[in-house]
Amino acid sequence: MVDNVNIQESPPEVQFAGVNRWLRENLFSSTGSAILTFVSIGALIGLFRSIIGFFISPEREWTAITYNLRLYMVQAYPESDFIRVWITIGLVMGLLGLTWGFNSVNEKSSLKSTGTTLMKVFSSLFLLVLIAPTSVVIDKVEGTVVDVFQQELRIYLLAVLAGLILVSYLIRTKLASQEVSKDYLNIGYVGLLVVSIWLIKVPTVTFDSSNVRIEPDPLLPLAASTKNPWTALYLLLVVTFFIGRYLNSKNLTSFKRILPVSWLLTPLIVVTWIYRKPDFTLSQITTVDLPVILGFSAIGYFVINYLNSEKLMQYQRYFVYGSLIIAVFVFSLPVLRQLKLLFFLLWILISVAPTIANSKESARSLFIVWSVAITILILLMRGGTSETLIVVPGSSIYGGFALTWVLAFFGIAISFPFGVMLALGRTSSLPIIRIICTAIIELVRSVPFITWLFFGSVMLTFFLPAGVEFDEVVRAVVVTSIFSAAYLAENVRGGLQSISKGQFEAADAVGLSTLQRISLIVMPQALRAVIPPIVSQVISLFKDTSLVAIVGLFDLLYIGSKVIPNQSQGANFLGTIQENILFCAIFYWIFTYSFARRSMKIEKRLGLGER
Amino acid sequence: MSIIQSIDVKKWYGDFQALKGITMDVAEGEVLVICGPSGSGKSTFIRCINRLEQHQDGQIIVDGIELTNDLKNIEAIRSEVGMVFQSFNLFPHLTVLQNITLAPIWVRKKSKSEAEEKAMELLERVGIPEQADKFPGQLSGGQQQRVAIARALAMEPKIMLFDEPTSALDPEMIKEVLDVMKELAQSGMTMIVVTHEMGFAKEVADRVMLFDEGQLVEQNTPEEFFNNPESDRTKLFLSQIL
Repeated sequence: MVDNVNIQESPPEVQFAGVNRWLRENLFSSTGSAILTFVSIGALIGLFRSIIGFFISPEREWTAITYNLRLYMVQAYPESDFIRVWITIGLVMGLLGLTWGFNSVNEKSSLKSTGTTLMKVFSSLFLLVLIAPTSVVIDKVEGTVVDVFQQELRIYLLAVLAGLILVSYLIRTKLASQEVSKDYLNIGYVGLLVVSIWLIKVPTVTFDSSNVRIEPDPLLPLAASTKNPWTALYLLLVVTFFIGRYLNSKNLTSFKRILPVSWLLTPLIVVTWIYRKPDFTLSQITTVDLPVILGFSAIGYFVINYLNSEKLMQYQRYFVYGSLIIAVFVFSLPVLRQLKLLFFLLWILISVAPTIANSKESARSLFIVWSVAITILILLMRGGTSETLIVVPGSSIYGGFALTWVLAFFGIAISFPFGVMLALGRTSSLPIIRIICTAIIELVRSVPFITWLFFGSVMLTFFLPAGVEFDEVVRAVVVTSIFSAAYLAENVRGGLQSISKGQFEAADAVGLSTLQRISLIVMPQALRAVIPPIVSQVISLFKDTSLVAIVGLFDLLYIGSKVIPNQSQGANFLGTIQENILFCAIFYWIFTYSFARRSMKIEKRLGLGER
Repeated sequence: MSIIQSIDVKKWYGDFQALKGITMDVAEGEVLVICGPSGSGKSTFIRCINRLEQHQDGQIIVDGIELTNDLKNIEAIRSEVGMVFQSFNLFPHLTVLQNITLAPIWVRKKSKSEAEEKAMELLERVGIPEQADKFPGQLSGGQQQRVAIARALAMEPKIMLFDEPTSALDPEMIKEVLDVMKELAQSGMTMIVVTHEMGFAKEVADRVMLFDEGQLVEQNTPEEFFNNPESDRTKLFLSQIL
């Protein structure tokens, strides 16, 4: 029998005790590991020296990139229409700021972690400068050596970096207990980027009055022609952030519902504003569009407030079927395309209204969302279907990074809902739907992406009604999204299978309908389980957009690998393929890596509830 | 007035007949305990009552509505019948409070504040109001099962079904769940409980049933059932379990 033993609580053993111990435990734990450590450090230094040497060698023609940045970004998009691109980016920025501010949870972060991050960055730079080679071999046969990195410059850079390391160390130790809002910190980081495009100067190609290249290349700010708009956009972001936060403090629930709808509609605005320059006439809007908008707003109001009442509730299914039949009927009539779409939307509204608008307040916000959405949609369709006024030499309005971005963005945005529906269809208990979805998935997956691109480019027109013709970019977007949807469907199906039968039964037992069960219980869990494969799929889709060069579109990589290395007129960048390919690689890396980082954070946050 | 009526209910899984014609009824406010060896069809039977399983022959009438393939009837009955599972089946991506308020908000169309107020009341009743903002994964088994009971009660059901609610729990946690169920029984709720907790049956049940091989072998008041079992099968079962 054990008597009352006095157990005292002891603090946990300290895990981390000094640099020495860490080194001993992690790098030099045995003779073998010590040898390995030294060998790999040596190899890393050698590798970095040669990479840095490659970058700073006088043979490199980096002006090929600085001079061609515009070509890289938008290819041949006419300069006179740039303002519309900026306005569109501004719109997205504003929305981003509002969302950010509205959803801000005012998280605090200690300056200690900021200091640590800064210290890591500056120390890595310090090391790189320290090991950078002073001279590089230009001609391997003759062994010509050229000095590229003067000792004074190195010492100067090292001194500056040492100063910065000291400053971040001081932040880390002296101000460690200070807390700052994470939002302000992020605004600060983006601000640093904006400042750097004013401060960092790079050599560019300039011509004198007789059209001769000025040598040596003069230094100009990184974003010489775009620094003003970027700064304005940054200010817009900051301002809308504070507006969003103000709105949040006012607790506006209807605004909460308007935000996602605005995001959903943004791509359409991008399409009509950058892709097309619509031929608007005021009379069309006042005589056709305005009455349609008002009429459908009124119908929506009626549906939400009266059709939803207790007395008519039992006939709900008849309303749903009836409105679907009307929508299909209207679709076959030779009326405005806007009307065709609106009747389908009305059908969706009638189907979901009883589920969403379950209180007076939510009925009101649903009505607001409905009216705003149809207004924007009608105006956009008016813009999208009218003749474009942009004149571009060549086949496509889009090119360069703009094309890459459009393909990736729309590819993901369209394939996501489509893929989820395919996955649900494939697991459905209705045999016809299951067979159709399985057939689509298997057919799309079993043919190479490039084949589908050719198919879209060459054969799609045969399958469309006469007179309907899509632009090459639209065809590429359609093909990309269908291809990606098939793979996404399989990923999502994997997630669906990970949901236990008990979850379905529990959802049934509390009386949820099938739609509610899928959207509230099954999908949130299934999607959460498959975030990693979905993220890697998004990343590979982003990179796969470079394949569209095969159907004659000028994407980022094609410009870097074929267009610029063949520029023989003016600045003459013949054969600058290494620089351009490297630039493209870094460009892709920045985007995919930051996306991967972001998703890791999301995964962590969503993982909270599990286990 | 019986609230649940079952007339000659039969069910097959492939060739295997799980229910061989169950005829019984449950009165309003009655607490019925069903026991029996595993594979005897007792779980299958109570899952038929809210149509998680479909019976193929016979009739089940719950609160005056007959269970058929009509979706409307099924949804109407499911919102009247609460169910508690052996493996809790809480929604892991929602907090405790969200688990409880989900169905009242989406099925009963209650406002969020009203549903939350009711949910906190129920959490108070099952004794874990302080866990409201945690996720199910952060709770012990007994706490999870109490949340599951609160979730079912939030729909204000007329009938509660318990499918072996304590079988997946540690002995120490069984008591806390049984206490909640006893309190519920005393409040006049109609309950059907599939369980091996004979102590609970003796203390709380109005009637005890024994299922074996898909048949209803014996039903009686707890005193008679435990002290003077009629059939040999019941005697054998009791000798093994007690």
